[in-house]
Amino acid sequence: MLCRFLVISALVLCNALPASAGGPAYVAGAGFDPAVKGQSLASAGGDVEYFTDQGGLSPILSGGQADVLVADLLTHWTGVPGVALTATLAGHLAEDVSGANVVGFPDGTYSIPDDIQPGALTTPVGIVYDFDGQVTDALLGAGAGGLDFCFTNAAYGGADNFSSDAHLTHALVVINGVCVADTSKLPDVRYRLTRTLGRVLGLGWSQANPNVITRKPPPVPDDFEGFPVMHFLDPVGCVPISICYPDAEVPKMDDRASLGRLYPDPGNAATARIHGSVFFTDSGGNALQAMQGVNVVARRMESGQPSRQSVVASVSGFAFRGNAGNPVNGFVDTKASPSTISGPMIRRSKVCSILRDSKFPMAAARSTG
Amino acid sequence: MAVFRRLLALAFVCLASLGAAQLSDQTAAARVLGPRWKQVSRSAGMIFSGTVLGVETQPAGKDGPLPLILTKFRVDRAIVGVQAGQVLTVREWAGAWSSHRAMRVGQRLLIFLYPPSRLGLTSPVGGTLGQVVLGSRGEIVRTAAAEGGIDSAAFAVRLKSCPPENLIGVGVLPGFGVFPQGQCGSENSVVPPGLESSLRLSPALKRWAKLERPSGAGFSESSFPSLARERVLAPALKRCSTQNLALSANCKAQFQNGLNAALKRCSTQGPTLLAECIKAAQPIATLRQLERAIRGVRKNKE
Repeated sequence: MLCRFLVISALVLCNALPASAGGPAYVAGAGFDPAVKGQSLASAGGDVEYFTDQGGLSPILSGGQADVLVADLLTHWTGVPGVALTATLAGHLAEDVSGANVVGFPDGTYSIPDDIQPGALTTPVGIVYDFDGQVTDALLGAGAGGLDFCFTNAAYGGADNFSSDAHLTHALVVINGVCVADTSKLPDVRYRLTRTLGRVLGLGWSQANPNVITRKPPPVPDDFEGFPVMHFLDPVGCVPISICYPDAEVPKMDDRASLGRLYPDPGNAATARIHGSVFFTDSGGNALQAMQGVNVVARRMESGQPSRQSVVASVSGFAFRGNAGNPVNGFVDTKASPSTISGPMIRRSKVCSILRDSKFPMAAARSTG
Repeated sequence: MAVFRRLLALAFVCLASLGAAQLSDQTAAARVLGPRWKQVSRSAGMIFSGTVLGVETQPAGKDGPLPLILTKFRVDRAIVGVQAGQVLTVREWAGAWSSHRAMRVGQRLLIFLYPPSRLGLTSPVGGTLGQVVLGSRGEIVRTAAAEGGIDSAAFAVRLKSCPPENLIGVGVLPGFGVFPQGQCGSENSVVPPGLESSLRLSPALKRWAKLERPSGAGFSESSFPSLARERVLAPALKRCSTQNLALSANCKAQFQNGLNAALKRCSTQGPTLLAECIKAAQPIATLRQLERAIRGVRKNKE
């Protein structure tokens, strides 16, 4: 029924933004159980158990207060109507993760606590409170944990282990306490942590209402209300983030729809699915091969006009089952050759730059964004 | 005495030229790398332009407890911490991979990497800020700033200089606070910052800009379309206007409808001239300029 009020338009986005759209970050492909190929990767049962650091986060946030912060931000996602998702603080990590136990050795080897490693399935989501930025320095590079890089490194991480039945089995999140030195920084950290938690839950980057960033056309308030939290990039001058987006940390319709697809509530009938194909055409306009990598945007029609606020987006062919590679299982095939796109592609000359960095499915689980 | 005066004047001119050149380099760096380019440059332990030779993963457990991505580069132009021709394998925690653009085999980049950590890991400084995609010949085709969409800091600065009562346009959204791309109501120019210099050459372009944005909103300083206009449009207009008045007028009219329409129309009517126009377009910055700017700012740091 809802479909009646929606119009789908394939947008050929000739700008510098990546072609990504709301949906899963990972889709099962080659290497997964055959029965689950094409499935989006999500936490099993929609129940996320997380374990937090024993230490404090920053001079203004003790460990307990940081736990409250994390729980509060998770409710942005677990509270989405029509989504069967819970998040539970199941306990604490066995240690205060810090520079003292994330260490390198002269022979080039290194060590990190067991319970934040990808194989630590009993602590499926580890959340590290990096009080002094030393863990960030260790993971991202020397100096990365400093105050200068809070714009990108205040909160980061994501899934680092999958199961063959298409579930996310482990994730690691690091919150850089240096970026929470005073309360004025808290809103930005909340925003960045919300996005990181979205990744942990399996959400990919999205692209709806990019005019909020490109200014073409100039955005109106509804554009901001439809601009997904899970967009890929922020303009570098957006500090604090509130000068660029109102309600920055609140999931928008596209975010909610993406999460609903990953964790559908069977009892919720108030959703609709829009599906179809985008095709190459021959000179006569007849459909040929289906096209991957097109950012398809659907907007609710309101008074005959497409809404700027009620908008969702997805990439055509995102559930492709081939081998596109991913950070966990690799970017090369069994013959050590780079994984390549094996599905039909869009020629750049035809449709501008939408292929640029499109997150095509490749290997085992593929990253869609 | 007269000789001394001449020498002094000569020295002054030389110094002034040097200063101007430096400013130009720094401007180019800011344009390509964004407003935080000095910070990014100073924090990096390795800066180079290079070609991605391979991207592999190292699963957790094999040689360490973290899954890594090993990106192999050939260093084409060494700026900091590496040597030209060196084949460098960058070890990056897989968890950092989604915070910047994926790098693919054959891609050429100007890249800024943090100094390797005590775990031997690194990643691009500031995520996407530390990656500049280069063309197939190693030229700058996209900017890190463009990746970020807009240089909102520049607009924020502009905004701060506005008396509150003069804030207009999309800069102020009722109930939504102030967006950094707002501008003063008293400002009557709607020219994108990157085009300002070319307007002196081409008044028609200024009209085009006004037609494009009648709302008076600020332009995206570093969005890709603006770069395209800057690189192609302005020199093309200049060349068109000097070589063929009739075509020039036609081009200018078409430019009002956008760059693509103009190029299409021009290519139909004067492909040779258009080719010349495009050839005349200079890149917004060269790697050499960036290298000088980066070395300069790092030298000051030391």
